[in-house]
Amino acid sequence: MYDNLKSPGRNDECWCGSGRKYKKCHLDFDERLQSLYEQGFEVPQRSLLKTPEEIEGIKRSAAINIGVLDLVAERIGAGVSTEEIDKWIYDYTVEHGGIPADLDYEGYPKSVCTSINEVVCHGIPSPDDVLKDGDIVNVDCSTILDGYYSDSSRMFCIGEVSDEKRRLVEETKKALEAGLAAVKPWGLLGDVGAAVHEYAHAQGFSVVREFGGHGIGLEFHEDPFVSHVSEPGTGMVLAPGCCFTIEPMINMGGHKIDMTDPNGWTVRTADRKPSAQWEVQLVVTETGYELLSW
Amino acid sequence: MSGNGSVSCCAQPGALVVIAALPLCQLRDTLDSMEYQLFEGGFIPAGYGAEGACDWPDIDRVEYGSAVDQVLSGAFPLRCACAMDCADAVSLVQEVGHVVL
Repeated sequence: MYDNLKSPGRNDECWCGSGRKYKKCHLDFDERLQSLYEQGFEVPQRSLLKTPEEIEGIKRSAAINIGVLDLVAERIGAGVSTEEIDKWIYDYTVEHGGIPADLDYEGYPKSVCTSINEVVCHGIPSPDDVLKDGDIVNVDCSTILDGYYSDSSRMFCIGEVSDEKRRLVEETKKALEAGLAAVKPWGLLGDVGAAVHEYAHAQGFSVVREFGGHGIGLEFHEDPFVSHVSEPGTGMVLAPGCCFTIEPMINMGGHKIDMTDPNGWTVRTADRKPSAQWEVQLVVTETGYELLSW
Repeated sequence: MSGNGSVSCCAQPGALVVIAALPLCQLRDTLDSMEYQLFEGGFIPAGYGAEGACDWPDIDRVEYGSAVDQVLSGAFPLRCACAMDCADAVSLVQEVGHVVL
C-alpha cells in the first residue's frame, strides 16, 4: 500500500480496530486511496485517519476546550490582563481533568496564546498586557485529555471597537466559514485554503502565509499543514477520518509578518496593523465534516 | 496554537535565496549539475529542503549578485534568476504554484 503498511487479508480484522472483517470495513476505502495515490494525488497516511473511538476521545477533550473558551467569553473585558486569562484556562482545564496543551509545548511558557491587535499569533500572556477599550484579542486554547488533543480559538472585541477592527473580526470568521464550506469528503485540502484566501482578499484583507492550520488528534501538530493561501485543486485528499484545524490569520494591512520578538514565539504584522484569527477543529466524515472544537 | 508551515523561513526569514526558472523539458539534466554549482566554493547540501536553508552560508548581496550571474551563465538552461529574501521567495512561490517544504 502507498503508506508501506501491510493491509489485512480480506477476512482478517480491519486495521481500524472496528472488529469487522477488512472486506466489510476499509477494503474499498483503502483501494480508493491507493488508486488516488497511483494517480499522483497526495493521500493521508492511514495512521492519520481517526477511528470512531479516537473521535470520541477528541470530543471529550474538546468539551473542556469549548467550555473554557465559553468561560473566557463570559469574563473577558477591559481591565483584564492576559495573565488572568491564562489562569482561567489553567484552572478550568485542570479542574476538569485535562492538561493545557500549550504549557511546556516546545518550551512555550503559558497555558494559552493571547494575541492582541497587531499580534498575529502566539502572544504570551503577561500581567503587563491589560486589555483596554478598543482592543481585539484572539484567545487560542488547546487541551489534552487522556492523550487526545483539541484546539480552537476565538476573537473578542473589548468595549467600543473601531468599525474597521470590528469588520476585520467579522470577515475573518466568514473567511473561516468559506474554508469550511470547501471541505468535501474525497476533495482536496488546497480548496479549503483557496476559499479562505479568495474571501479574505475580496474584503480587502491579506492572509498570513507562514502559519496555518494543522492535523491534530493524537498529537498536537500532525500532518498536514493547512495553508490558508493554497491553490485550488492541490494538496492532500480529504479522506473521511482526517482531523485538522482551519485557523486563518487575516491582516488588515499587508500579509508580511515580523518574527523577531526576543521571546522566540510572538508573531506580529510587519506593518503593525491589526490581525484577527478564528479557529475550529473538525473531522472529515463520509458525508461532509463534523466540528469537534470551536 | 497555529502550525508553522514555512520551515524554510521561520529561522532566517531574511536569508537570501535564489529563485530560478527551469524549463521542465530539461530539468533532469539541470538538477544533476545545479546542486554543486550555485555558489563559488560552496554547494547546496544533498537533499536540500527546509532543514538545509538554515545551513546556507551567510552571503551578502554583492556576493549574491555574482551567485546569480553564475546561475545564469552556467551550463544549464535557466531562463532567469533573481535573489530575494527567503520569506518573500516562499510567499511568491506559494502564491503562484505548488510549494515543496
